[in-house]
Amino acid sequence: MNTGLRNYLKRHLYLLLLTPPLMVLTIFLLVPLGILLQYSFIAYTPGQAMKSGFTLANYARFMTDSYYLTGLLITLLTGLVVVTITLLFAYPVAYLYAKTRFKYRGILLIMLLSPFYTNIIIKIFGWMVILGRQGMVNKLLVQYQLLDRPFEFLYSYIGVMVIMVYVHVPMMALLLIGPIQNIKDSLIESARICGSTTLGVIRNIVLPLSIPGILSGSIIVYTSVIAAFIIPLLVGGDWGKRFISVMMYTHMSVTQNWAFASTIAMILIVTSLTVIVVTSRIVKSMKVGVLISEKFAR
Amino acid sequence: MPFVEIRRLKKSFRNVVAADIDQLSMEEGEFVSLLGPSGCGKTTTLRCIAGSLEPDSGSIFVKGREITHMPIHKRRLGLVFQDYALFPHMTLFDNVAYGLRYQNRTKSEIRKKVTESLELVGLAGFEDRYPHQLSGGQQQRVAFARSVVYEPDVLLLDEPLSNLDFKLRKAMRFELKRMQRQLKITTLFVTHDQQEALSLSDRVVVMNEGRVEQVGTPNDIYENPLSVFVADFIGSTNIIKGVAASCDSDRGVCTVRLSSSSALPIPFREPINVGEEVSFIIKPEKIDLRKTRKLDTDIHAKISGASYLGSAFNYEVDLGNLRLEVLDSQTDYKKRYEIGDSVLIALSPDGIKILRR
Repeated sequence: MNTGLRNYLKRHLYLLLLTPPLMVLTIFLLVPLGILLQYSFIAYTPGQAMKSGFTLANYARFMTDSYYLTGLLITLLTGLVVVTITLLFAYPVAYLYAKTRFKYRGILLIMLLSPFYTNIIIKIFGWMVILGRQGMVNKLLVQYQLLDRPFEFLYSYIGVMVIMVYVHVPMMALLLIGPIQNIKDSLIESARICGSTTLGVIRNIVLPLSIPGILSGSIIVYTSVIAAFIIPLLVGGDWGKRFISVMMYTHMSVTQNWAFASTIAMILIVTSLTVIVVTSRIVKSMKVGVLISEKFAR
Repeated sequence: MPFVEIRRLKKSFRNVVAADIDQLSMEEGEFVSLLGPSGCGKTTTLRCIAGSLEPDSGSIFVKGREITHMPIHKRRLGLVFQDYALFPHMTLFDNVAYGLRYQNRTKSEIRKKVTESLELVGLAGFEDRYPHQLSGGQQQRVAFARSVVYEPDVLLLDEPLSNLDFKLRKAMRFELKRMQRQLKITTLFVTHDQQEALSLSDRVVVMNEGRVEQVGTPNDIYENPLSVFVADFIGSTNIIKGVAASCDSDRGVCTVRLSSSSALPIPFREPINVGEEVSFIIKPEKIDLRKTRKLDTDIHAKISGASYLGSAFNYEVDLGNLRLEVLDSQTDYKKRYEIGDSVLIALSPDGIKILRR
């Protein structure tokens, strides 16, 4: 083999390595997305098979119907609320695991991982038992006379939020552990010896330095929340139907309007990507984000 | 009561004793080094003082206050880490001001102190820079400024020079000493580098396996090591073990048996008992090399290794039964010895330290 050819192969070896993942992504992600995109421009006639064609009617229907627009808004806002609450629960847990001499770190890790071994449906049914009319929570509240009669947690917004937060706290905590662990102990010790209390260290050192981790964790959880449809479908009641993912599911499998379902999917993808890009831009424009990412980039 | 005092400090990790210090004290303004190889307990001791480790037993006093179990932020200490540990998301000003913000001080006071402190370390005007925009040496200075600006009782230095390159390290050694002198701050310096310890300290504490081996002035430690360990660690390469076979006290020479077949005449000052097991430490710079016999105690040897150091020659001489390192300060390149040359070596009693085992 001549040297020129060998060098050429050496320089382009990465292409060979990239081929399998690129093929998987193309076949299972890009092609289906392309098909969805094409569907979203097809006019739908009830009772008839999908034909080819081009119309913007589906998009026009979505944009002019406040039912769908509020649905989209509810979904995106729910994403933000769930991410915020999840962060509040997950951050202390991740901090406990990553930066303290907590004795039961091993057990904590098992507790964080174990929910992933259970199917989402099982987890939802578990919560139905806990939150139901005759569930543990209602029984206790009534018994201690905090409520006159059982409160309807399920089939409401509250039920959806509780389960969404429950499902995503372990995910968020696991995503935060790494970035928090990466903050050097010597920084924390230096701050302590300069006079900071533990709380001061968290506020001035640990929290600012974990912003990149918080951002990436939030984006993953946010994406997962707005795409989730089983939770609002099963425990959302009338509220659940307002979630964009449930609407998509209904159009796809109940009314068989694949064209409109595809349109909803496309709009959801574009809006959520926009939300993600805008938030990360904002966070990065805050000094701390830029500095840390610069430092990591070096 | 001394300014800093450690009493019967003990710390073990899983039944392995990491530090076991009976008594150690520092006077106000003193620069003391903890010197030893890795795992000797010097860092454990420092961390017990700093508060990031809780000692199993014993007590630590600083300025009359017991700090053994005090929360870290109340100890009034300063600490410079090996990796400097500057806060990457803060400007130099905020880094240095960090400790001051926890003391009730006005804004103008903080500004004044930070400016003074950055001037001290030669980084005036760098207030708005971020740590990653600085070189290693500059980061080191900022870390120093941050630790002294709020006037801690004791400054702790945890191998602060070991991440710097050789030239910078030497320059920082002078800098560090100058700044410490200027501030008159009581300083505890942890290092594994004997040169750093000897050149910076008022007193050196040599540690080994968690215990204090020897405490003394740098000169004391260098000239009069009390154990083979200290002698070895401080850089003496010629350590000879043997048994005194016969001594001629008129000539002041003892014949020391090194093994069953070899012996060496060693001059001495203090009397040695026949049959006693002893170790001799012979300083490389105190061995004379010559071509012609002057004294009848001169020993025949052969040059087995030679290296030119610029300011001196470093030889290895073969005495047949052992090899010694010799540092010859004569710098005339023409008068150098070559490998294979026959020489005579003269041992003087001044250059020999006798340790009983």
